[in-house]
Order: sequence, then structure tokens, then C-alpha cells
Amino acid sequence: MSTTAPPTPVTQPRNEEQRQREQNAPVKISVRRLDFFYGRAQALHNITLDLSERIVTAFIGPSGCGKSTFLRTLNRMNDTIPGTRAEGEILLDAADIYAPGTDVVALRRKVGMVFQKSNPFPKSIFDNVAYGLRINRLTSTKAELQERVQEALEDAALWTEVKDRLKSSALGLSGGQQQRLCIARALAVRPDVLLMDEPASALDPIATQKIEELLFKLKRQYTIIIVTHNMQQAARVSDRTAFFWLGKLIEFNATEKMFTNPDEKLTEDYITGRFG
Amino acid sequence: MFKPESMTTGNNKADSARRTVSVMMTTLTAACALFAVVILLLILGYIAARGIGSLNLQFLTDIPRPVGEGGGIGNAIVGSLVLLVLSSVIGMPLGIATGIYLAEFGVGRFAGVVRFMADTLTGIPSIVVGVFVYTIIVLPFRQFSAFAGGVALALIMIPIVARTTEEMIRLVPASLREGALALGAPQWRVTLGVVLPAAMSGIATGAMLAVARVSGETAPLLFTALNYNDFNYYLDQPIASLTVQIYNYSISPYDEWHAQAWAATLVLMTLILVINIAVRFFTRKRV
Repeated sequence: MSTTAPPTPVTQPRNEEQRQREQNAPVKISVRRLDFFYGRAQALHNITLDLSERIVTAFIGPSGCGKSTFLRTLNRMNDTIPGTRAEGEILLDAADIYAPGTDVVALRRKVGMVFQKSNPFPKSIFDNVAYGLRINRLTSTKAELQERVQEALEDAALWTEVKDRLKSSALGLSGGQQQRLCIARALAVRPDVLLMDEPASALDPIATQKIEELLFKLKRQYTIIIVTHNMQQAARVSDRTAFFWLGKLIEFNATEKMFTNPDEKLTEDYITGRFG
Repeated sequence: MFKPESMTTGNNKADSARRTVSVMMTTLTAACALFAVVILLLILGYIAARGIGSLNLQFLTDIPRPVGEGGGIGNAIVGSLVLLVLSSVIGMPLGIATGIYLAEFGVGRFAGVVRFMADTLTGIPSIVVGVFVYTIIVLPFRQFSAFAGGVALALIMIPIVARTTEEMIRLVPASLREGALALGAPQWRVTLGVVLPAAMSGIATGAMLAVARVSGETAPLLFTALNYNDFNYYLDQPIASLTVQIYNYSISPYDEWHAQAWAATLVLMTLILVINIAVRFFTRKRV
């Protein structure tokens, strides 16, 4: 193992117009004093941050720092784990998603999710993408359904590879294709926000690159939040970066600043590979 | 330092002892497996050898006749199929639904009790089930019936199907559930549309085992379906079955009936085999 710190990751080049757009982006999700518990163990401490619209925000931090837990509070996916509890506020378009009476099913339609391990259903490629459309009755005719499925597959840069075998099993696709299928499945219901939990961690570099290119394309339409272990990836794809450590939000800044001149010593140490 | 040659030489004492033990244990387990298979083949071969002689078209289609007049087990074959279908229709939905409940919603005390009861019921002697159904169905209606027989077999099926269904559903990765939930699917749609299809071939195998198990049952039918010497298609009437027919012929003093009992056994075994292959064929993984 080399003992020298890896070079500082390269962030995407930005022009002034982009900077302006990023700075002025309206807030999509506003988190206030969020605490989260697994039983008695507190996993998140007093998280407060604003996630902006049509911006890619990356969550970084060592394993177990709470970044995935935090991501999963944003669509209440943690509800499926017994004994968990969230305190504080998460406002999506100014409505508290943890308020009693919140329709979790409607929330999850608005806030889509792509998981670390691709999880296509044991159905055909077409049925995978059509699943969300069907259960939510988002299309009224067969032609419309086919159109939306094609559109989602095109958005996920998978259409040309699968258009001749939509009826065959999704499980026959390669790992990278399966993950893009899962992205297509999430996009098909046209969510506002797309949560991605280490979407490329199990993929080879070529498949990873495809997913990253996809993110550039998608951020024009979606608010994207991505958890990643890969510092270079965070630098390449995100506009803003949040650094978590031991369940606390240490720093939240423009990615450019985060990777060149972070405010916190801890952030710098982590990014330059001195720990974690 | 890493020395590749240290992995190939291995002529020290500990290594050769390890290898000897490994060879011994492999041989031992292989011998046990061979023993089990040979015994099974001997049984099958013996039944086939004894039964094949009395097997002909008349035997498969005719009804039982007095000694010396031939006769067959056509009504018993049909009766067994009727009982199997009836018990499956009652037992499968209940068993699968119980399994789904235990796997998907089964937390807390009630689920624990259900699970424990299912395990206990699986081990209960089948004659007890027969007597139980005799008490709650046959006595009140003063009538042995195919329906009572079907209920008795269903009661044996339910716990087996419930527990295998639960196990199979638990094997479905949580990531599939989460994937569906994240698309805005309500719990029941996740269970029915994603989890159940993914677990289907396993559940079918469990259901198959349950059918195979009850198709060999005699005791619960003695008190419920009884027997009948002709074809019967009324569920409120007694009905013949292969197992009871085999039982009756076996305890008779006539050689001809003994031979027919062997042939009926061969038919029963073939029937189970055919059902098994058919279900495997229809539930094979297609997607």
C-alpha cells in the first residue's frame, strides 16, 4: 500500500453562469434538527441542511457515518426497519414528510430511489420499468405505457441496448445494465427527487462512467442526491457536497470549495485520505 | 515472505493427517448417501416387480370385484384425485396465506404462537387428525363423506405449506421489497406482485411436498372418507381412495387381493411422481 495521500480529486470545471445557477437554485428539501435512532442507538445527530432543486448533492463520509441512513430518511425508507425513529423536520416543498397523516406511498412516488445493489424484479425488462407506472395508474392506454417505458429507458441510456429484447428477463442483463434499468424504473414515474445510494459501487469503471454521464444529463430535470464512497466520483458529478462523520454533518459546501479549500480540518483530512 | 513451494510440498505430519481424515470423511458421507439411495431404489424396484404383474387396462379402469372376478381400482384412482384436489383447494390458500402472514407481518406474540402451533401440527400423528375430523364433521352429519376426507387431508397440509411458504418468502432479498416500496407500491402490492412471484417456485415445491405427504395418508381417511366400492362424484358421500384400498386388500386373506394391493401401490407411487414432475414443469423459472 502506498502511504502518500492520493491527489486531490478533480472537480468539474464551472463557468460563472453555472455558479450563479447553483447558488440561486431554490430549496427542494429542507432538513431541520433531524435526529435518527435505531432502537436506542442514535445514528444521526441534529442534521440541518437545505437540498436545492436540480442540483446534484453528494453525501460523503466513512462507512457507518450515517450518510445512507440520512438518505433513507428522505423517502422514509427507514420506516421498513422496525424500531427506528426520526425526530426533527424534513420539509419537502415546505410540507413535513414526517408529519402524522403523511401519505408515504405518495411521498415515495415523488422521491425515487436507486439502491447500491441493483435490484431488478424477476420480471421482463419492460415489466420492470412499467411496474411503477402500473401500480400508480399513471398511464391510461397501452400506447402511453409503452411510450413512457421507452422514454425512461432512453433517459437511462439503456434503450438502444434492450429495445429488441424488452420481453426477456431483466435478470439476464449485465450488472451495469441492471443498475441503469433500476434507474429507468425510478425515472419512469417521474419523481421530483432521485436518491442514489452508492449506485456505482458494484460496477466496473466503464459502467460507472455511463452512470456518471447519466447524472449530468438527469440533473437538468431532477434533484439528485447521491451517496458515494468514491471521492473522485463525488468531485466529478456533484455540485454540492455534504461530509458526514459519526452521525454528524461536519461540512456542507459547494463541491469545488469542499475539494480545494474546505472549511473544516476534518473534511480535509478525510478527502486527502488521512483517515477513513 | 510468501513461498509458493510451501503450499505444494506439504509432507509434514499434520498435513498428511489432515488429508487422511478428509478422504475418510468424504468416503463415509458418500457411503451414507449411496446407502440411502440404494434402499430407496430397492423399495421402488420391489414394488414395481410385485405390482407390474396385475397391472392392465381393466385394473386401472374397473371397480373392485369379488375374489376370482378380477376387478380394478379405477374408482380408487379417481377418488384419490378428488380427495387431493379437494384438500388442495381447502389447504393451499389457507397455508399460503398463513405463510405470507408469518413472513411479512408476523412479528410479536401472536405470530410466535401461530408459528409454534404450525410446528406442533406438522408433527401430529395423522390418525389424530382423522379422529378430530370424525368428531367435528362426520358425527354431526351422521355421514362419512369425501368432504370430511378432504378436510382431514387439508388439516395435515396447512402447517406444512404455511411453514415452507414462510421460509421461501424470507429468502426473497429485502432489496426487492425496498425496490418496489421506493416506487410507491403499497405493502400488499409488494407482497402479491413482487415477493410472491419471486418465491413462487419454492412455494410450489413446498406445496408439492405437502401433496405427496397427504397422498400417502390412510389413517385420516379411515374415519372420514371411509371407502366406496363404486365411482362416486358426490362430496357428501363416502369415496374410495388408493391408500384405503391398498390397506383393505393388504389385510385380506386372498393372494389375488395381495397382488392387487402391490399393483395399486405402484399406481399410487406413479401418481405422486407424475404430480411432482407436472408441478415442477409448470412452476419452473421462466423469467
